[in-house]
Amino acid sequence: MKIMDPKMDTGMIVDDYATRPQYDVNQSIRPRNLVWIIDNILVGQMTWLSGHALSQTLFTSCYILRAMEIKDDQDATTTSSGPPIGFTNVVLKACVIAIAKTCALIWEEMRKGQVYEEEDFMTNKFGVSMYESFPLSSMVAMLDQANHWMDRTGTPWIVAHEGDDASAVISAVKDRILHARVSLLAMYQVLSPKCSQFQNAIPQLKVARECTERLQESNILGVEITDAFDHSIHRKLVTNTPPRAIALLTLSENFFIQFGAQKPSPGAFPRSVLQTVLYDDNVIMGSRPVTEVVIEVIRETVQPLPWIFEQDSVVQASGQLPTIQESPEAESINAAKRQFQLMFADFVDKATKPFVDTLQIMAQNVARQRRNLRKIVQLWETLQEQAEMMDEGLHMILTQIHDLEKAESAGDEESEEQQEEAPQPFYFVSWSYHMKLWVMEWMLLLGSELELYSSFEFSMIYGYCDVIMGAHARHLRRVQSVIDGEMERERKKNQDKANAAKKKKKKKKKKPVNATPSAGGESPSSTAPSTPVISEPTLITPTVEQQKKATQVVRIQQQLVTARLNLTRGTFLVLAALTKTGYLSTTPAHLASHGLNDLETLYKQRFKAFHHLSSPEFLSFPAYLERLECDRLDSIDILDYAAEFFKEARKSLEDLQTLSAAEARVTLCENAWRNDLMSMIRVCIGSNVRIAGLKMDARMIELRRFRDEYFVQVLRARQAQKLRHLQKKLQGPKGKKPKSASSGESSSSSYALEQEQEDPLRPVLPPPGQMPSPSELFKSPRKNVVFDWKYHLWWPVIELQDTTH
Amino acid sequence: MSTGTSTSTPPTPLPPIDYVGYESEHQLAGMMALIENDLSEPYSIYTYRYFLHQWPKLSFLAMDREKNVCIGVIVCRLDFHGHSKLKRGYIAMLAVSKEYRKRKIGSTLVLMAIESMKTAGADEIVLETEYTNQSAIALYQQMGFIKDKRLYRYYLNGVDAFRLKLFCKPEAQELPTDEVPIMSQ
Ligand SMILES: CC(C)(COP(=O)(O)OP(=O)(O)OC[C@H]1O[C@@H](n2cnc3c(N)ncnc32)[C@H](O)[C@@H]1OP(=O)(O)O)[C@@H](O)C(=O)NCCC(=O)NCCS
Repeated sequence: MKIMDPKMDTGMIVDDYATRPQYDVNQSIRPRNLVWIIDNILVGQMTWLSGHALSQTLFTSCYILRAMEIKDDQDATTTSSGPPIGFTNVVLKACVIAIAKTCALIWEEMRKGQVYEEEDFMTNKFGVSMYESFPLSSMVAMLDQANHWMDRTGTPWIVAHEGDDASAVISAVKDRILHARVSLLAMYQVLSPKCSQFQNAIPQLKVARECTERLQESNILGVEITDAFDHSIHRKLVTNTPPRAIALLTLSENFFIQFGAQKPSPGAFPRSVLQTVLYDDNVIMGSRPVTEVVIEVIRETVQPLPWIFEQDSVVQASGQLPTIQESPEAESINAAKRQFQLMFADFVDKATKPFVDTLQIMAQNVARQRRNLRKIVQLWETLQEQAEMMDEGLHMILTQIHDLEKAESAGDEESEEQQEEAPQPFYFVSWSYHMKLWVMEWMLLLGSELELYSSFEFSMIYGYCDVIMGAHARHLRRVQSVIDGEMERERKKNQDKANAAKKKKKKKKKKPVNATPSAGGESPSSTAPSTPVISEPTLITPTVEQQKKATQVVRIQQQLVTARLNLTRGTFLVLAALTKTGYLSTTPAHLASHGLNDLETLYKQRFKAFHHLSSPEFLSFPAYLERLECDRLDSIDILDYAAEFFKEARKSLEDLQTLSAAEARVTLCENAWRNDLMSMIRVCIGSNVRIAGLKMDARMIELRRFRDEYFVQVLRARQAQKLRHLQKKLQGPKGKKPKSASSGESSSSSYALEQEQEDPLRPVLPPPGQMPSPSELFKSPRKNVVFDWKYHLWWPVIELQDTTH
Repeated sequence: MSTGTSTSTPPTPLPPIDYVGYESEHQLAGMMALIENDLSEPYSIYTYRYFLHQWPKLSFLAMDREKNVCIGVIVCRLDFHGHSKLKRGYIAMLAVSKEYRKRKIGSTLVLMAIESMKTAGADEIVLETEYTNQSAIALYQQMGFIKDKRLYRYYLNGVDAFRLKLFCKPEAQELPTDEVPIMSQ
């Protein structure tokens, strides 16, 4: 804020203000003036939408403030010498009022307080009318009238006076009328209660967008008219809000286009609409109660047994036990099922808050998203505790059912055999855990988008993210296999029944169905160990048959998470390779030298939101450092692995690209979805190009040489040891037989020095404690690490640059 | 009372600099003149007094000894954060005169302030800075500050800010003791 700037300082007296003649809104204007005025009003509107005060934007237009002073009764056709007054009192007036009304609708929306006042948006109207009560129908009629007037009177005048430009000027004027009309209607439809008009708005928005593009092109035809905008109006509209320094936006920054995780971050207005659309009065997308949506999401994700959702009071046990309805055991099972349905309804109620809060976050500004996500992680954690009780309850019932079925089918050896293998499902924990993991990933990656991380932190962030996504991918695979297993059992059961009915002799192969990892009652969110950093990329090989299954939702989620996992792992490995060559440090320069605090504290604080979670287990600082070591591989080896991960990520992303919007369930945001996939693919491609360059870097080569020298020493030592061994054996008759050194599996599990000496196939660096410091090790100069975020805001493409740059 | 006179020799020829603690209002004019030149938000004299009167020991000046002018200043606060038992230090202002920059004067002032706040029991130290202020961010990051949050449109001019944070004490909270075995599948 510049004090004493006459525009800004509300307390300052400008001498001539009172005496200045008021702008004449009834003067006749040329069509080119009209273009200029409307464009500048639109610029004001957009600047307001981007978060500035009305008094500094829209209200600077004298026409907006005083449209009602424009007299209708002047004869719109008579021309003395200048242009007909209809340009003013028919066309301009209609457009101005329509724009103001559009803004009034937006204002209503913003008043719902779904975005943060001041931070996002300023709704102070200073008591100025925005023609709120003007009926929509008369407004549309006015605009149609304006169009009509243009055809009859405006166009001939322009043809007579604008020479070669005539047709361009005519289109410019008519486009502005059209733009005002479609914007108004679209806004009205978008904001209609319960999204009843949402479908109608889509074509309007499309026209508005095309129209905006034409507006941009014809913008140059405009000719300024003095004093039509009063930038000191702010002082008149007395306010206690200090004005902000303001830079007016340009026409090209159209707010209709921006949405979702895009840069520049979407304007507050679309975000607020998105929220209303998502969640208004317990109704999502305008028509469905939240609980219904929550149930559906659970059902789609983990596919629990159908009876849980059944509404009738008498539960049919999936038609499995029709003959024993009357038996007391069956009755007690039905009672238990009903009891469980009540529990389920209660659970859905409890799930509503985390679910809705998570959805609403998407409509907030990115900075706040991240802060709120910290709380949301906790909400899912709490829900997961409740989910555990749900699953336990379910297990009890399933055991009852199982026992009963067993009793029923006693004597029938074969069905007995197949039924005892049903694994315990963990539907509710599975779902809550899935949501929690997703929120955690989102939170960490948003930090990149917000530029929160310093270069020394990136390996921590992507290292942690890698662990979370690894847990997530495994989790979804497990969910998938449980669903598949259940389907398979279901199919078999039916088949068996059919066979039994036909009384045929069966010759079925008895494939164990409990080969799923969660069999044996292990909770899916239990502290499963994380994947080793250096391992093969997680592959997804969906068969055609699998694709067709009704398990599409989990499968797509799984594929997406796996792609992100591989992308994240690749990024982490590149960071690890650069750390080993001393280009990246894990410690800020003065941290250690001044003993200000230690890196471990910093690390713990950075991931504070994850400390107290029951799962996934907190990745400790030493564990992170160990992962960063990458099994003591040298940088070039690490980069080779990284390249594999990027390649694999790209494959699954390209796979996802082939899905239709309906299959991927992204019909409402298809473009954003496709753009995101494309951006991730670009990261993969970009990274692999850079990796090829990095592998030829001088320090990488120095490190490779160092490793090879070390390896020769290790081999020699090993040889010497073998020799000693042999000698001992020759001397002493009771020499132990040496262990076979040829373990078939090459990678993993070789940390201890002795063990390593038995594994000559794998040259590695000395243990961390024996590594010389980068300054001792490298002769080649340091280079700067450059993080390029232009492909994706969540994953950088990393390269090296000479320090001289 | 002066907290200490630095005799450390800077790499380039530099007039001798004295680092002194805040003593009284006679230093105020010089401090204000310096800060007004450099910070994006103007402060009234009451803002200065708010800090200097309550926490005089947490503010320091860098003086050009020969000219006897203030060429660097840091102003801080320390109190309990919200209702918690956490003691939070806050760096309200930091500035170094243009001709004297890039000579570790800023870093020295920050280190002195951190030291004094830690002595006074600070658990953490925070500050806000415009997200575009590369030099300040780089300076703080070298000392182990992290960007804890981004504050959307924090300043009157509509620019975002970063909240930077330094943790002074190892976390008291207990972490799960067993680690994740990374080599096992
Ligand atoms: C920020 C400010 C106080 C730094 O003072 P300074 O005395 O120049 O800082 P130092 O010499 O101690 O610099 C320490 C480190 O900060 C970083 N730094 C300082 N100026 C920098 C610049 N122009 N560009 C990039 N990094 C810079 C460097 O990492 C530097 O370390 P290096 O010299 O080893 O590279 C000074 O630039 C200033 O007064 N700026 C205007 C006011 C302001 O922004 N205050 C902070 C608001 S919270």
